[in-house]
Amino acid sequence: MMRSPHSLRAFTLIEVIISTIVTTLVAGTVVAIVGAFSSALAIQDLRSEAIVRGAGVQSHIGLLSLKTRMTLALSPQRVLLWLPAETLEESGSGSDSAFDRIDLDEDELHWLEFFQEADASWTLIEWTVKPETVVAGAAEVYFSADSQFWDTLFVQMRDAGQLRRSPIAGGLAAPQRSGVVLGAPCFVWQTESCCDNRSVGAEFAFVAVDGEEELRSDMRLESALAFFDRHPICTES
Amino acid sequence: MIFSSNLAPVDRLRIIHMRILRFFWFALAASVNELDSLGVKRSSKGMQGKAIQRAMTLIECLVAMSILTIAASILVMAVQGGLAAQEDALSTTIAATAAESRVAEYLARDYNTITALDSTESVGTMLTPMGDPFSKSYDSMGRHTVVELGTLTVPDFPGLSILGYSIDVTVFDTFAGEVRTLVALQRFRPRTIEESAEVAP
Repeated sequence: MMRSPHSLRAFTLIEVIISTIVTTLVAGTVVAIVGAFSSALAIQDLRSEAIVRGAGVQSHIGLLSLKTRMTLALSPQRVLLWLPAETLEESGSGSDSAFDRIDLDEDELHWLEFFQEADASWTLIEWTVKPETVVAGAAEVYFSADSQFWDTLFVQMRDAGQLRRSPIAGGLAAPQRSGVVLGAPCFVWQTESCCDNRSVGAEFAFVAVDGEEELRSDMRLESALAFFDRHPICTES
Repeated sequence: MIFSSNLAPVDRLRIIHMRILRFFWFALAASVNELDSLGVKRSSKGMQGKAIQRAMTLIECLVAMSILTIAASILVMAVQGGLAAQEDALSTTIAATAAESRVAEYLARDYNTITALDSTESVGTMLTPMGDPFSKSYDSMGRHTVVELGTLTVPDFPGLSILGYSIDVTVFDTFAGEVRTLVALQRFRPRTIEESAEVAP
């Protein structure tokens, strides 16, 4: 069957040039759109994480600081909050029986720790005592202003499997301070003395890499201890 | 901008949006020239039998291009809008931490060391309670703090009046040349004696 003469006509030079230009433009635009969209999605992911995890950490620290009456140990990567089980009325009376003793099986100690994962990211973890692991008769610990004492207790209990590990937020990175990236996320406080410190907070960042660019969002959270209560030992000293 | 990068994603998308529109006009002009050079005319009754061989008409080409451009524009605008809204949300979250930091600073102080205050930290000059500058993420924000001595009344307890300081913190940035409030926090610090060690607990 013969094809019509019109269908056998080749493209003219102008047709080829125009179609090449149009094809190039379309291809360029598609590539640019796909690139920008993937970049936008990466940024959206990072922002979503920063918003959700940042708010989560803030609310968690806010809640703990509402119940905390003293910070027993403070170090850049680990803090110990004391949330006495006794009511304020009892502890405020200065009664030794009410405020001197720390009951391990009463959920009074909460350690917050920045822990580095295998992928080099950091996770904020809350450690609490598993009451069922506390041996009868060994549930009482007496107050000490020595942070080393509490660090030793933490290591002993963690290694003995007596602490419950609850991750609060993962995928954290070291924050930037005065233009310098620190070695790790860290806790912040007002003063190192547990007898005087009335605030606790955390400084960390969210970081993502988009191509050759590093996207970073730093956060500094701080919360005052709403019901700070100075232990009688602090006043005596 | 919260994330440090040479070009904001919203700006990148805006550039792509402009490219799409430019492409549309270029393609449209090229199509018209091309159709004219080929001598293609609108279909008529006499050409109906050969319709299968004819090229696209100018109207068809226009409609296709318009649909393509509108679809691409909507897609780009949707992502642009999402990114802008998300940046605002993150700004608000970060601003809340800056406001909370200021409030915590006053709540954690000895009551006797608090004095009335009305101060503004301009954009990029906010300091932490330790006196260090905040990180780069806070560079686009400023903070206004007002601390006033006052009394707090509790509606459910007529006659009860608590002496203390009212702490108002507003974190702002500038958007399109105007100051925009991101977060406003208000707290009341009641007068306390015990923690200032005036009286042993």
